[in-house]
Amino acid sequence: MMPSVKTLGFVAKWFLGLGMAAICWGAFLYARPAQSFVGESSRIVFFHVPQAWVSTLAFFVAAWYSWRYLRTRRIEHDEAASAAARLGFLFCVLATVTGSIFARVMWNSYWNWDPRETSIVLLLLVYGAYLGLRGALEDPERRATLSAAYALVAVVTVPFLTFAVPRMYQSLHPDTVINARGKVEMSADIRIVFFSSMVAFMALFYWMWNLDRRVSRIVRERAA
Amino acid sequence: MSGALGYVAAVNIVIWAGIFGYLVYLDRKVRAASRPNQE
Repeated sequence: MMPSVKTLGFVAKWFLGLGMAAICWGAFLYARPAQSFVGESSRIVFFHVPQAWVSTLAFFVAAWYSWRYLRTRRIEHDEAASAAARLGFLFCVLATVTGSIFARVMWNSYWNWDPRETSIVLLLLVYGAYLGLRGALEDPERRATLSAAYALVAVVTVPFLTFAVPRMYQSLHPDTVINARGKVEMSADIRIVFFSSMVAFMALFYWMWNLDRRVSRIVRERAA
Repeated sequence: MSGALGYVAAVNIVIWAGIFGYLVYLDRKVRAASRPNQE
């Protein structure tokens, strides 16, 4: 007999919770601190990098559903896009704050206007404006159309600010995961915890995104 | 703080507080939407 969707969802949530607990254990107790980082600060990478990656992913999801909304005019797609953009903004804020804590450990200053720090602030402004735009428009159809068009323009800045700018200028920021030589240079223990954390935070994003979409649907149905 | 472990802990607190805060925001949204129907 096939398990129901509800059972699978329940199992997946438990699996995600236990996985997150395992990652916290691995980050603090299993992986050894990396060389060339101050003390134990390399452990911050297990949490900070997935936040930045998930925010990038969320902005692309927002653009994809915005495009689908403009094609089909189905309000569910607008709800999916806005949920992804909201979560992208949340994870971008978390990446900024955790990056700032990392900067304090490494460079003895919370903020240095490093190219990476400047580009993430610009990204926050771009998507903060998206949320502001949504908040300023009352009519659902007009709000969905304008914000979908904005999201499609905004996503153009994401690869530029996330991947191009930090590689174009000298930066204090450590090498990207795939470094300039095109390699992932991590010891085996760090690699296991790091990539598990990436997968787990993506799963967490997916769960929160679905939850947000369901909440938006409930709000819409109640308002009707 | 020995070996910057306190900062690693601070990073965790920020992340989980942020995620929890978002879940509280969703909960409030649902509660606000269901309020008129309960009266």
